Amino acid sequence: MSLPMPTSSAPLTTATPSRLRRVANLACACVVALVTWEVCARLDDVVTAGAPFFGPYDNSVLYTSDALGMRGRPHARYLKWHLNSLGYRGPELPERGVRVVCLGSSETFGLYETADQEYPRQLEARLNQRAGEGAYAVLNAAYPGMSMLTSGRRLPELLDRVKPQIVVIYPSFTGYIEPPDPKAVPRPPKPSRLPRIAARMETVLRAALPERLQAAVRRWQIEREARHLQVMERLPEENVARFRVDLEAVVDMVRARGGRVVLVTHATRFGARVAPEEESVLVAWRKFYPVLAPGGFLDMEERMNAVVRDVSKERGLGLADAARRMPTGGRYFAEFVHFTDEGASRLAELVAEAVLGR
Amino acid sequence: MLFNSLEFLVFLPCILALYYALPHKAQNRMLLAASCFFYASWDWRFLAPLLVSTTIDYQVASKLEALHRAGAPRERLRPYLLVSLITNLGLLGFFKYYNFFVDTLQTLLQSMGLDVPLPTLRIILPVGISFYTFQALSYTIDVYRGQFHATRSFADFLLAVLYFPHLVAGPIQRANSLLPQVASPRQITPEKLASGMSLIVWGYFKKVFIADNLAPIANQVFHHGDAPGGQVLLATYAFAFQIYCDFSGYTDIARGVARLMGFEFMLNFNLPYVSTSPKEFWNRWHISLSSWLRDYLYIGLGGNRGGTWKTYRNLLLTMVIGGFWHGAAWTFLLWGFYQGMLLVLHRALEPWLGRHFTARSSGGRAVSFVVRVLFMFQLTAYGWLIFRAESVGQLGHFTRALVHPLAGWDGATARTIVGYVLPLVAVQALQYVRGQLDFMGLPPLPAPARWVLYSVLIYFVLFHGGQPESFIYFQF
Repeated sequence: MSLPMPTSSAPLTTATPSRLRRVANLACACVVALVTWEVCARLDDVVTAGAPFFGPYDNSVLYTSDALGMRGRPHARYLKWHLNSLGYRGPELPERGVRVVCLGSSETFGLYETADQEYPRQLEARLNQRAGEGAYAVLNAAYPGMSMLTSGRRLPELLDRVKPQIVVIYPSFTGYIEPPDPKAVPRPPKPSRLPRIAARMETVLRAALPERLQAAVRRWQIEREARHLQVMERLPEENVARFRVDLEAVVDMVRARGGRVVLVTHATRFGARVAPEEESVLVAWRKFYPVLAPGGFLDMEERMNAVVRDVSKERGLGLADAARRMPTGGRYFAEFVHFTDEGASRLAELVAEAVLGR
Repeated sequence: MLFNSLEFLVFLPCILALYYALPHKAQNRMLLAASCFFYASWDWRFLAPLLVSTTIDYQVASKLEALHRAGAPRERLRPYLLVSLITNLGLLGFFKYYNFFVDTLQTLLQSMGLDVPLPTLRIILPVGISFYTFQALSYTIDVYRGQFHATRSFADFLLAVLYFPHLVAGPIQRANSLLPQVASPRQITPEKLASGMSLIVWGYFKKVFIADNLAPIANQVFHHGDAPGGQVLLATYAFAFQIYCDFSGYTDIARGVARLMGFEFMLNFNLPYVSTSPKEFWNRWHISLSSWLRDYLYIGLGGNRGGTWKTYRNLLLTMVIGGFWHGAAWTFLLWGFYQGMLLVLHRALEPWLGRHFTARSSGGRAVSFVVRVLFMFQLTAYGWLIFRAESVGQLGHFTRALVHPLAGWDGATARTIVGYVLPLVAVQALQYVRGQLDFMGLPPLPAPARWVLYSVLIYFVLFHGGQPESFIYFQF
């Protein structure tokens, strides 16, 4: 049987039963495909990550919350992210060795690095390489989205429990674009209600779509959102001052309990200026913070990093000036601020130097 | 625009939508424009040599046809054929082999103590030049031999050569198969659409899931000059399946896309790794090339008509030229020579093997079959080592390493290879047992079960595909 091939300008007729049947068949095929993919995705999670077949399985499984807000769920596992019994990313903290705690945000927690290549793990490897096996034990005490304020809230509990000799602070500044409400506590992400296949589809699409097209879509989204916002050309001085207050509070808290602090300035993929070919990356960053104009981002980095250097100098703290010493570009940064394995390795090297006092 | 690129996944539905909406003549014009666009998406300059050779071939074939009609003797036809041969092989030689010959000559002169700087060219090899050259040549040779009437429509001829599914990596379609399909309206049936889709899905699965995941295993060893025997062996096996799934996957996609438009391409792979002899392997592997070499080269050289030694010479020459067709490198020449030697040895030993190794019982025949298939696979795999080696030096080193095939054997890598290859082996074993090469006809399942099967394949393509790699045969 041949398919009816349109010849000329034949008038459209109402659907015949066979045509309806074909449409119904196609719809059934689509449903079967979607259900099959969802089942495949779930089985895939079971086999590759030991995930449950039923129920949600996304990054929300890593977190829980208490009075202080979001915290890691002890022993939680999601893909490459495995939390220890304290609810922090990485292996169990050994009894012996100098204890180093890394505070920070998603850059420290690790997003794009392969498992155990996030900078705190590489830092531990480097320190022990130089000081001998087991000499240092590093705890990655960061969670995505943490600011100095929210890190500070949980710090007393952490210090009491872990009793670190050294605390490395790699602050993220974006939490100060819109100053956090001092009373608000960060909440863990809610489990996604979408089928698991949806997230996979999104990942595949992101990887497949040309960067220019994605940047154009993001620009349009930013413009649409910015219409309802009062866009700031640069970060207000009071936001920078608030960061200083929060950072100093954390530093003081650690020092009050006898810990040594090493500060790290915040590095970006761009360095001092955004190269024209990297503008789409800046757009991707700005999509999360449309309230700040494009020119405001590197200005914010510069001013906040000046605060970090200043606090370090004033209080005689160790400093790893990553903002000035980290190489830039896609080899070291998977996107605007998060590291590749190689980027995390460079940062670990710089921090190790500062920890060892070189 | 690679078949495994997003651009193609956008391009194809647009072309199909237009195609189904147009009448026959307009379909051809649209396909010609789309094929030019497809080819020019690599580099628009690639169109120049393609258009030059097709124009000349068309004119030559028209002249040959006119001379045939006038009853002219072969001697009068020969100069025209020579024009086509010189144009096609000249373009191929210039783009593909010029630098190789210059480098070789320079090395030779240097070894004789002469340091003569010879000019090399900085040119890019037009994609698919080896394929369309052979395709165009088959047209003029067939017309010259009087086996096919030249077409009067230049547009039809141009479309037959340029038609995008087969343009860059075959199958090398003969004019007598494709031109009639271009000239007359194509029938599109639901069966053709379904089988075309199934070929496309299976082709993508082979390419993206199997070949692209095996590629890093092979590359890791071949990109480094040094590896123990066990790793060389595993990398060679990985490459054997990579190249098969890469090329046959491409062919399946090409055949499937063509079938969606009502075209039928020739079968290019017929379960080659179940061959029991070199001769059978070449009847099953890259059939469009091996049959081209047989019909236009081996037979042209005299085939098996001049006695035993001339037959061996013709076999060797054909395979060496076939090897060289793949690329301008000594390893390809060696690979062709190796394949030629296998054919010669098999031809020489066949009567003796038949006398001494013919099993009588059915069980014995089954065991003998399995042993021969496995033995032939080892010979083929060694051929792939020659083919894939990055230099003759590396080939020598790896060959010596294979003397200790278990040194550095990595069980985890072996399991990974088996994991990727298993679905292929399962499907092809079924295809072999059922005698059905079409993936669609493989499992006699009801429609919903088939949808599930295809959905699973697509899932693995989308979410477990390897890092996208260019098709291996695009470089030829």
